[in-house]
Amino acid sequence: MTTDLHYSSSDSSLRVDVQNLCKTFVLHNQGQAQIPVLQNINLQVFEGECLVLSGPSGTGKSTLLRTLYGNYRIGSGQVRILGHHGWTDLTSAAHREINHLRRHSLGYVSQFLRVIPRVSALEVTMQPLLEQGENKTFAREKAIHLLTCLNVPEQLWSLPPATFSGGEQQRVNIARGFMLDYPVMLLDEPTASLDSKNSDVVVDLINQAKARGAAIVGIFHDEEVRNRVADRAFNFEQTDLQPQI
Amino acid sequence: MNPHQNTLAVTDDTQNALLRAKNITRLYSSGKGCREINFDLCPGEVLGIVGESGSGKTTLLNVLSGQHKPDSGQVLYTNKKGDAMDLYGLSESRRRHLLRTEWGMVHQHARDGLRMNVSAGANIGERLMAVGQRHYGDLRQTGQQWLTDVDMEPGLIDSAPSTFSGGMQQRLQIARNLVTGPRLVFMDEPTGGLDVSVQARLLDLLRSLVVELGLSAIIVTHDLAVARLLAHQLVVMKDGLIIEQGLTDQVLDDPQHPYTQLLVSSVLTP
Repeated sequence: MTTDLHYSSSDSSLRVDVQNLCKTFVLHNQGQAQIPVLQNINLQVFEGECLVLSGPSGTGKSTLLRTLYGNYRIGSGQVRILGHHGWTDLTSAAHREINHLRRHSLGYVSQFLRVIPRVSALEVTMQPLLEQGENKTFAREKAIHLLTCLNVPEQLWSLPPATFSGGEQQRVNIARGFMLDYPVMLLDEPTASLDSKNSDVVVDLINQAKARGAAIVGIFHDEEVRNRVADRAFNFEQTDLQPQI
Repeated sequence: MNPHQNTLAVTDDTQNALLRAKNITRLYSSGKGCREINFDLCPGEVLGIVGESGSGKTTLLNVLSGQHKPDSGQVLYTNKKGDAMDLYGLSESRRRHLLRTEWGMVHQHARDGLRMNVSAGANIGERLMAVGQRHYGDLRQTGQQWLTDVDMEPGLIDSAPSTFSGGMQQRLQIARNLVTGPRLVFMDEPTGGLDVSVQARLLDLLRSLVVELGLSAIIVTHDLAVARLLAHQLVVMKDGLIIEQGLTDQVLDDPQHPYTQLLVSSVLTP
């Protein structure tokens, strides 16, 4: 975690700051193929807004989101995120700082739920709060509230989500992602396999999060959803992604 | 949340490390073993060690857990009272005491970690007695409670582990280790050799114990999915060396070393 006294912008509502980010994957076992996915990305996200990443598929939108979550290392440039406990510079952060940022301040909802064997949908949903040391009753109440809002049938709550449909799994995933009031949230197609009724619920959740000040970066395939949550868009241009050998 | 407020939430955690490996080397005459191993483990953290057979994982675990003295390097541990100590600077008896009280060891083969011909209750009670508990009724009650906690019938307390299935033996091993409230548990392939459904039960148990008890753990596994589920920090070993280490997601999703890339791409769902 770095403290930056020479911060360039005076805007105190800045939450996510990406400067000159580049990311190239090198595939050692495929003739050292180099795949430059992100080139000189600069973007800022502020408190209470939703920045939408748009552009054709394969242009690096998900890569950027996963880089912001720390799953991918920063190639060059800088990525900084302001959490509850100050700025974290992902460029230099140790694994411990990234885990800390994720647990308290950085939410991530992907299209797919990483199913944990034998753990019920309700427990999966409760987890982010339990990991904060919250008491079980409170976590349970909140989880039930969100699962109900997202129309996950009550008879599914006690079952492990491994056997649920894609849409049901995704709704459990969204409930889990909104358990905590994260100051920064990353959303990768959260409405991809939802019907319009459930998409509406997600739109409401996103707008509520914005209203309490969350900074959100999202990818939304559905144009209507995108228009209802987006404050600004960041356009990815079609770049030549041919491997360079 | 003020960007100018420069509070350091995560202070220099390495100062609070529970266990620290400093330049550990232990080689066998064949040249196999582990070399120049460095990492820090903090309280509440799970470290995964992955790599193929013969990469030095188990040798390293044996050094870390006080069973084999390294040729060079140190294992530093900070005990409950906050005293920092060099594991191999301790007398044999103090090291054994530490193993019985603050540490636990779950072996890959339950027979290495259990006494197979004495009852489940005696297996659990043994560690408690080693730290001075003598009251039979209390020992029995604690034993039954722990059997329940690891999803076993309390009625099995008088049965010998030799009559249990592999998964039950593994759960008994865990109960036996956790009964004294250890701060650090070493596990060598805890799910190895178990059926997939039994593995899932055990993984769920381990995960909840880590979260609920705030345990720290070092887990050797060749299963990347197990590592992903349990480990905060991942170490990849090859030919006795650490070739890559860091945030588990990062090592698995964006591996840098050719060998790690091969390892990750060789499994169906990492």
